Amino acid sequence: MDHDGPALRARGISKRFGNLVVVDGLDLDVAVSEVVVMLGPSGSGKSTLLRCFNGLERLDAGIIEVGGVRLDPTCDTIHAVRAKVGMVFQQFNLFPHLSALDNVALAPRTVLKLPKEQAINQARERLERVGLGAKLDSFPAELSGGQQQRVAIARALAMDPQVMLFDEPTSALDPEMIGEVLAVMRDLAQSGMTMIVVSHEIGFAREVAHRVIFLDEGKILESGPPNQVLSAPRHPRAKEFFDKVL
Amino acid sequence: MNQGALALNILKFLAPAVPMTVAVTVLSFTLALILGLAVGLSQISGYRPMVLLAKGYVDVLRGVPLLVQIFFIYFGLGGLLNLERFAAGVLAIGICYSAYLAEIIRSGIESIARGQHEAAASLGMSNTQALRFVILPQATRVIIPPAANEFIACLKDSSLVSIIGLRELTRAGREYYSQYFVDFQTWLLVGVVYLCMTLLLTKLTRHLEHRFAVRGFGMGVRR
Repeated sequence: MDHDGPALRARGISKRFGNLVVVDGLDLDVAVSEVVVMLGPSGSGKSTLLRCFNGLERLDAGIIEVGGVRLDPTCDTIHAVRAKVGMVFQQFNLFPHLSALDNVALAPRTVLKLPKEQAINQARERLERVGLGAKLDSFPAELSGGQQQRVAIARALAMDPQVMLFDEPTSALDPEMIGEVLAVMRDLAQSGMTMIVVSHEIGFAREVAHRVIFLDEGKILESGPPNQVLSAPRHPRAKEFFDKVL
Repeated sequence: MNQGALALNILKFLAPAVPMTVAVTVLSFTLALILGLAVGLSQISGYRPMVLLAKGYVDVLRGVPLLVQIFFIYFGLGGLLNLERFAAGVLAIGICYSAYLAEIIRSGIESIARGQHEAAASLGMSNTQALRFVILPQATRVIIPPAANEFIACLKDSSLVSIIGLRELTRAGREYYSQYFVDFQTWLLVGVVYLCMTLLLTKLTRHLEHRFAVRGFGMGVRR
C-alpha cells in the first residue's frame, strides 16, 4: 500500500434509521494486516457499521478513509474505493447465473478491465487457494453452503482488496461447514490481509484476532487483545454478554 | 369445387398476406421491447420525475383499448404527421404493448434479491455494470414467460390493423369472403393459419426458456 496510515480510518461516524441511532459517533482505526473481530448483541450495530465501511450504508455524519482515500457514497469515486474493500456476506450472495469461475472473474473483467484469459486464470488460482479447484464449473445452486461461501471469499479476493469485511460469514452455515470457511479465513489472516470480521465465533476471535471490539447501541464499549476483552471485560454490558455466550 | 380444392384456394389467397402479419408483429414487438425496457427502468430509476412520467405512461396506455389507440394514431396523429398505415399500425401496437412489457420488465428486475445488487456494488461495479452483468441476466429468466405471452397476444392483436386497411391475414380473409361469400371455411382457415403461427412462437419460447435456464434452478437444489 502506498500510504503509511491505517488501512481504514473512521472518525465520528453516525448512522440512523429513522429515529433509531444504529452507529453513534464512532471512531476506529484498523492497521494494515490487522485482524479485528467485532462482537456484540444482535441489534448492536455491528453489521450496519461494517456496511458503512464500503459505502453500502450512507453515513449521517463522520468520515471514513480506506488506504487514505475518502469513502464518499455520493461521489463517483465510490466504485473505485469499493473495489479496494472486499465484502463477504452472511447469505453468500453469489451470482446464481454464473459458474464459480465466472463469479470470481466477473468483477476483474468488468471493473478492472482485465483481458478475459487473465481474469479466468486468476480466478482459477483464487478458487484453488480456497480449495475449490475441482468446482470451477459448478453453479452456486450445485454447491454446499460452505463451498458457496468459499467462492464468495475468492470472488472478493480477486479484486486484490486492501481490506476484507466479513459480515457473519458462518451464521448461515450448517455446523459441519463452519470449519472449512474459518480455515480459509485463518489462512487469509496469516497471509497478512487486513480483516474486519463480524462474527459470533468466539473461538475464531480468540485464536486469530489481533483485536476484539465489543459493540453495543452503536458504540465501542470494549476494544483490546482477545484475551483481555473476552476473559476480563471491564464494561458491565460486555461482561453480561460474554457470560451468556462463553 | 370440392372441400380440398376450396381450402387450397383460400390458403393460396391468404398466403401473400402472412408476411404483413409477421412484419407488423415483429416490428411492433421489437419497438415494444425497446420502449418497455426504457420505461421499466425509468420506473425503478429512483428519479422522481422520471418515475412519475413512466407510471403515467403505463397507466394511460393500459387503460385505453388498443383499437382506439390505433384509430387515434392513424386518423388523429396520422393526419397531422402524415403517417402512412403501416407506420401508424406498428407504432400504435408497439407503444401499447410497451406499457405491458414495462410492467413485466420492472417486476422481473425487482424480483432479483437485494443481496445481488449489494454483492455487485461491493465488488466496485457501477449501477450500469451491475444491471448489465448481474441483474438483467437473472431478470431475463423471470421475464421470458410473461413476455412470450405478450408476443403471442401481439401477433393476434396485429389483426386489428386490418381496420385501417393494412392487407394482413385478417384483411385478406375479409377480402376473400366478400369476393366469394364463403364464410365458414374462410374464417376457419384464417384461424388455423394464426394458430400455426402462435404454436410456432410457443415452441420458440420454450427454446428461449431452456437457453436462459440456470443450472441447479428448478431441478432440485442440492445443498
